[in-house]
Amino acid sequence: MSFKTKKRVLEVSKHLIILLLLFVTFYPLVVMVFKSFKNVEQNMYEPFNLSFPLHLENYGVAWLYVKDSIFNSLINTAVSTVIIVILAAMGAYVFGVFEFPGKNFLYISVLALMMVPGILTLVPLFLLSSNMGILNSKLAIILPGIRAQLPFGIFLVTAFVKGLSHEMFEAAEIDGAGMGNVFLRIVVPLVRPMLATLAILSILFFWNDIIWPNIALMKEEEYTIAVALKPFSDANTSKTLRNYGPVMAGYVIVSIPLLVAFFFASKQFIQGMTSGAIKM
Amino acid sequence: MKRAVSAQSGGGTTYKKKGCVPMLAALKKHWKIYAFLVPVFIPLIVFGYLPALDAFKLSFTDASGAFVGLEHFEDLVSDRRLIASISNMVKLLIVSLITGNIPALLVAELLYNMKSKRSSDAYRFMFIVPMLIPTLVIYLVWQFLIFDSDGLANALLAVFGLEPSAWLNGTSTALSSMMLIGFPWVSGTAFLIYLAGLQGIPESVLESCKLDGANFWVRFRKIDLPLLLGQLKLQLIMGIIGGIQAFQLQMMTTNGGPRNATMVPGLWMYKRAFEYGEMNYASAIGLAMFLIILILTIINNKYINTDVDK
Repeated sequence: MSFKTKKRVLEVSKHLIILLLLFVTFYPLVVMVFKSFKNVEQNMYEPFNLSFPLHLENYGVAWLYVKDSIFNSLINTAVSTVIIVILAAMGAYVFGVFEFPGKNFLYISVLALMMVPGILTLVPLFLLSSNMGILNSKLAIILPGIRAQLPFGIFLVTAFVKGLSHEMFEAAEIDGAGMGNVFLRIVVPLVRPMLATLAILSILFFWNDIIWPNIALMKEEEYTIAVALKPFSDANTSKTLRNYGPVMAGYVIVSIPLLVAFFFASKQFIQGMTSGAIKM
Repeated sequence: MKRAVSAQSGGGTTYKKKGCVPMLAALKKHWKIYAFLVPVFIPLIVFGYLPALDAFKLSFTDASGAFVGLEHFEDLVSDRRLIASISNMVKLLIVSLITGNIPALLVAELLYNMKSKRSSDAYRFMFIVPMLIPTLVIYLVWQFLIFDSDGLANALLAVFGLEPSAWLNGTSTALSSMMLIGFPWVSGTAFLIYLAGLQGIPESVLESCKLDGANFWVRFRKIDLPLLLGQLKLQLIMGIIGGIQAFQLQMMTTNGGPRNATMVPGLWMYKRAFEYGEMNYASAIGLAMFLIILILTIINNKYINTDVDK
């Protein structure tokens, strides 16, 4: 075998390995979509192919069940993300631009929270939320969620603010602009790329968080998708029903919002996903 | 008025608390700074620091709030379910460190070394898409579509003429089935991080390597791996910290069963708190796990800092 053909074989085998891995990764998801169109009989006799007629009514059944939880997840995610982004920008502005007494202590106490693992505060957080009367409400997801994401957010944006040229802030201050004005007119526009990254990170966190919503939400009308999907799956796939179609349709429905968001803002998503772990 | 303020605070005293800024102006300025921090710290204090302090208080008291000393920690050492769950956790953790990183690294290398930039980018895009499927959906797809009694996994066994397995429902198979979840384990941020790391390797290093005629394997060991060490270490640390406390997979699929075959400490803590109502004992489990994580983090940080200094 000549050197050239050897190289070509090597190149082709790279593609083959990747394609095989992609196939194995996507195949279950494709079957999920196929199954979402099946009724009970089709699922029994042709479990993994697309079978006709397509039972689109599965999506109607699933939608009826998941629509409230999707709505709740969207509200929780949107409200928390907006608040996290605003607070992180405010914190980053103060820590990144000013010198003031107690600055280091305060900044380190923010960062220290990044090191507190969720497992330590799970039980106390439940008791606290219970005492505050916010269990079974959107606040039970939003407020602890802000605490979970804000320290890293401040860390991320402060580093970015420190890297900016401070002449602009000084010039604005000399022109007599107040802190609020400088923040809104200068800081926020400048740090926007970092805020976008933080927003993505926060969206992924709220969309994927499982443990806390399952503890804090016991009322069906407040369920997020992380809570609603499991009982729905259990009920429909029971030995007597074996009705997988609507279950899989539910999975497809709850997967759509993030996929749509990704196709509109893939660059920010990739930044967000990698910024969670900068190398040390 | 505006001009007066700017005249006072001009001349280099704006940002550093130096020189003789009139006391009132300084107070006024700092007051504003602290006011900015108030909304930031309220959620952090109420939902971060207070629960953390509470965890200590709860761990040393009983349900009535009376101090019980180390009683919960003594119970903890003789809690046979907890001890048994630790070995499950360690097994899952070790496997997840391997599955969470080796396939991701392999794919990152393959994409990085691909001749055609366009197909490399297209593949990267394809590997990102599954990351956007909610984690819960991935878990449930494995439980109800792959490991179901009529699922893909048993169909695959049938192709090879093998008997169907109980997978997550079998006492002896549940834990290893759980390790399979996510196969081929490429999705996840690890792959993006490694790919970014490889793309950050300076051109000059690669050129000199090419001139030396080093083959792929030599280059991987001598250049890629050392330069990816930072990413690799962080992945391992985050994997260990996350893996020790993880129980969402168990919570959503097996609930620790069958017969505690997939029980892990985090889930046991959850059950003691929310099924048995033993908040104080559960807090003690949480505190013990926190201390273990803290010690491991400190050890890790020590090694990492020395390496970065080199």
